Amino acid sequence: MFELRNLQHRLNHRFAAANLSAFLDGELSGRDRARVQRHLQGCATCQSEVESLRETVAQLRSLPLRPLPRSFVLPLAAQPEQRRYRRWHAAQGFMRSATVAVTLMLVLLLSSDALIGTGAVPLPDMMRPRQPATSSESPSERTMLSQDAAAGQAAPESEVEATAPVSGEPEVASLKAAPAEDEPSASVAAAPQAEPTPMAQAEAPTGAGELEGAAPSFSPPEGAYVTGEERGGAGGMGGGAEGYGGGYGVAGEVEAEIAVEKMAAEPTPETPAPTVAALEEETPQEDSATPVEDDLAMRAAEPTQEASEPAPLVEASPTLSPMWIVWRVVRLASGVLAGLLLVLVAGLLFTSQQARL
Amino acid sequence: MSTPSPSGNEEALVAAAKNGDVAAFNQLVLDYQQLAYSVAYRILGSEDKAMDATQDAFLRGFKALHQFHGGAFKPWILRIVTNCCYDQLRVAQRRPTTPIDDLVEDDEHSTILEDPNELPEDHAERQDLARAIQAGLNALPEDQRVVLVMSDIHGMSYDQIASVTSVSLGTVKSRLSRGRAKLRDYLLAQRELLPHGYRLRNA
Repeated sequence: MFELRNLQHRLNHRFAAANLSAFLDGELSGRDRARVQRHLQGCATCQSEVESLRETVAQLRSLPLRPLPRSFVLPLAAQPEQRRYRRWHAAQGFMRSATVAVTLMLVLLLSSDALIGTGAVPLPDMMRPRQPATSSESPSERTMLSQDAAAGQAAPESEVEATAPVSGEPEVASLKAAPAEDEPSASVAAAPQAEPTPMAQAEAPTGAGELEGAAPSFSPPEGAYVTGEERGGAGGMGGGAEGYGGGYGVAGEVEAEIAVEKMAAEPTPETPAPTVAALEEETPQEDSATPVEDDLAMRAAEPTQEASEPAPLVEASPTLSPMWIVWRVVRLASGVLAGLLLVLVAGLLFTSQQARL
Repeated sequence: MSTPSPSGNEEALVAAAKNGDVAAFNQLVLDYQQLAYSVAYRILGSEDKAMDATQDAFLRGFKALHQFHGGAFKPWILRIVTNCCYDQLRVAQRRPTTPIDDLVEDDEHSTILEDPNELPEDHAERQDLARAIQAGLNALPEDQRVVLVMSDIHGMSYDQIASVTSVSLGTVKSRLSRGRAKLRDYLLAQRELLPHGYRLRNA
């Protein structure tokens, strides 16, 4: 019995000791306060504890108010000035980060151009086979893609044109085939063409002749690098990514090889494609020159040699490797973003300068 | 402490200040600067730092006024003051250029005799006590110090402190309990350490 009472006392003591401070402040609930009060009556330790705490609180309360050393009112005149400055400052902060972002994106674009032929960057399983089946696309689309087309055709390896397999991705073909006109917003238009459209294949023949004919007419001295850079600089124009592909010897050969294999592998009966077919059928046969051009013929000869080797028909399916697609998408997105950011920065600069005046 | 303006007036001032009326905001500053500075001084234990924190708090308050959605202005501005004090403490931690002893300034002695009837000895004693208390506060952990300053120096309720410091009621309670006990021990030790000691006044 005594034990029990002792235990109860200890529990109450512990509770009271923990709550003396709140008891002093009147922050205990009625029941808790009564419990502490009851315990205090029989516990000298807690009595002196609560006394000392009360004294401490009283001492704190007695502290003299610190006299204000000065007034803290905000300066009236300076305030609008400061706000304007702050806005300008914020704009500058944004532009600093935007500039960094644009720079990174441009580096990505340019470096990808530089790396693409070296093997450091994944090449597609089947390199863009030039299928001139672009007639299905609207003329406007073609013009929009024209920059890339110019790039591709500017490249010395115009054999790409000659060796286009029937089952290629229309996107590639379209890029190559489009008549070269300057249209700044190529990237956006190019984006939707990532998937091969059967339509394009079906209508291949009409486009083919016209496009092949057009191809040699573009021969700017600069190679694909330049176009790549131009696209980067223009920001939004990175989209027609395939354009420069033919500009690299290695890539071109690979393409040709693949193209030939393609043709061997899939005859694609649904594409009558007279002109293209003619071209393609000629490429596998060793020495026959393509009817289009000397240059084309020369280029066409190269791939045929490689084609004679018994390469496995990995590329039989017209699907792109995922790595390649990812790479394309990253490049496309960075191009678009870089362009948008450039426009934003220019706009901000303009507006904030106006705000300053 | 400070004399808060009538709440209706305060609301109008806040509304005007939200629209960029600096004069209206300055009226609020005048109402609360004594409280803000006092809290900052007791938390930081330094006049310079308290001035920095107070000015910073009012500037921040003006900038962040759009985030103030009604309610009392006092806990809102005190929360900013507290945060500014924490910032000052962080700075002091990062750059401990001054020895800890210098943080206890002799400011208390500079106080002019407020009560002309007070004996000079009493005045000196009161100032000694104030110094000892500030030194004891400085020796407390920051969180306990903040709660102690708000509760025991500025008489705020647990609820108010909980909302200003963004902690639970139970946390306020335990911090206050521990802080008070530590401060009491500190003051008792001071009294025993010094030969003539402090005559701790009874409540």
